[in-house]
Amino acid sequence: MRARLWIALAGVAGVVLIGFVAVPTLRGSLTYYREPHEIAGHAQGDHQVRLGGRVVPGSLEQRGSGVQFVLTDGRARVTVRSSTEPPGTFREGQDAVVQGTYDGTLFTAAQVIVKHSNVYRAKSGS
Amino acid sequence: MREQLTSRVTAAAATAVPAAAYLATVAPTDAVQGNAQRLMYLHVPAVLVAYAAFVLTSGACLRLLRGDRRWEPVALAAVEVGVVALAIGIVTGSLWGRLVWGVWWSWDPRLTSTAVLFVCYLALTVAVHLRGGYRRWIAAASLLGLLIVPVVHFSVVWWRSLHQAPTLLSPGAHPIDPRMGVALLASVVAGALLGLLLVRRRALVLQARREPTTHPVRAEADLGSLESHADGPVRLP
Repeated sequence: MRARLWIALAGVAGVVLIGFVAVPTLRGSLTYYREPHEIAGHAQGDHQVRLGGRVVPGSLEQRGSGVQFVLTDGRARVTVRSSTEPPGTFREGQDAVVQGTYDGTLFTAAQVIVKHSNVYRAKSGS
Repeated sequence: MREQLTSRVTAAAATAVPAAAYLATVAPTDAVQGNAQRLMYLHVPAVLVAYAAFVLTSGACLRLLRGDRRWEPVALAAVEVGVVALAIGIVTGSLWGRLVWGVWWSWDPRLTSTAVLFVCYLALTVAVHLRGGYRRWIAAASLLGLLIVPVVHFSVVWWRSLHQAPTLLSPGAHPIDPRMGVALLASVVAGALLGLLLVRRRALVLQARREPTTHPVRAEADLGSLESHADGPVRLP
C-alpha cells in the first residue's frame, strides 16, 4: 500500500512537471509565427519574433554574403534582410519562416527556415 | 493470431516490403524538394504505424482494466513497437527537416505535440517494465495518452506550424503526383504489416516469460525463441 502511494505521488509529480515544461512551450508554439499584417509598421523592440509568409516573386536580391526579400500574407508586406545564405530549397513564391528582430521597417533575420507545402509534384522530365 | 493467418501476413509483408522499396525508388523526384522528399516513404508509415500501435495498446488496456489479463503481452508489445516506430518517424522527420526546411528541429505545434506523445508513451513503457506488469493506473494512463494522437494529427490544421498540412488525409483531392501517392500507400501497407508481425512476435516472447511453466510443451518451444531474442530483462507477473 505504501509503495503504491509513493508511485501514485511520483506519477502526479511527473505529470505536474511535464505540465510545467510543456504548457509554456505549447503556448509559444500555438502562435508559432506572426504574419506580416500583424506586425507590419509595428516595431517589436529587442524581442525575437518569428514571421511567416510567402516570398514575394521578384523581391529576392543578393546583399553581400546574405539576401533581402519581402514576405507577404496577401494583406501586408515586410522586408526581410538576412546576413547569411538561406537554405538551398529557398525559392520566390514559396513560404518561409524567419526569426529575428523587427524595427518597424526592416526585419533582421538571424534564421531563415523554408516552409514547404503539402503539394508533391514530379520534377519536369521525370 | 491463428497460424494460418500469421503465415499469410508474413507472406504479404515479404511481398509488400520489397514492392514498396521498389516503388519508392522509381517514384518521380519531387520538383521542389528533390530526393529529400523520398524520406516521406519512411517517415509517414513510421508515424502511422505508431498511431495504430497506440490505438491497439489502448484497446488491450481496456480489456486489462476489465480484468482480462490475457491482453497484457499484447498491450506491452504494441506500446513498445509504437514507441520505436515513433522514434523512427522523429529521426527521419528531423533529417527531412534539415534537408528541406534547413533546421533539424523547431518547436512548432506538430513537432512539440509529437515530442509530448513520445515522452508519454516512453514513460508508460518504462513504468510497465519497472512495475513488472500493467498496473491499473498505467492502463488508465495509456488510454488517456491516446487523446494526444488527434492533437498531433490536427495540430497542423488548428495552429500555424512549420510542418505542412496532411497530404493523404487532406480534405478533397490529394495534392500529390499519383506515382508518389502509390509509393506512399504501398509503404504504409508494408509498414502496417511489418508492425503487426513485430507486435505478435514480441507479445509471444513476453507471454512465454510470463507463464513459463503452465504449458510445458509450449514453454519449451518458446524457450528457443526467448534465447534467440534475448532482449532485456522483462518479467511480467
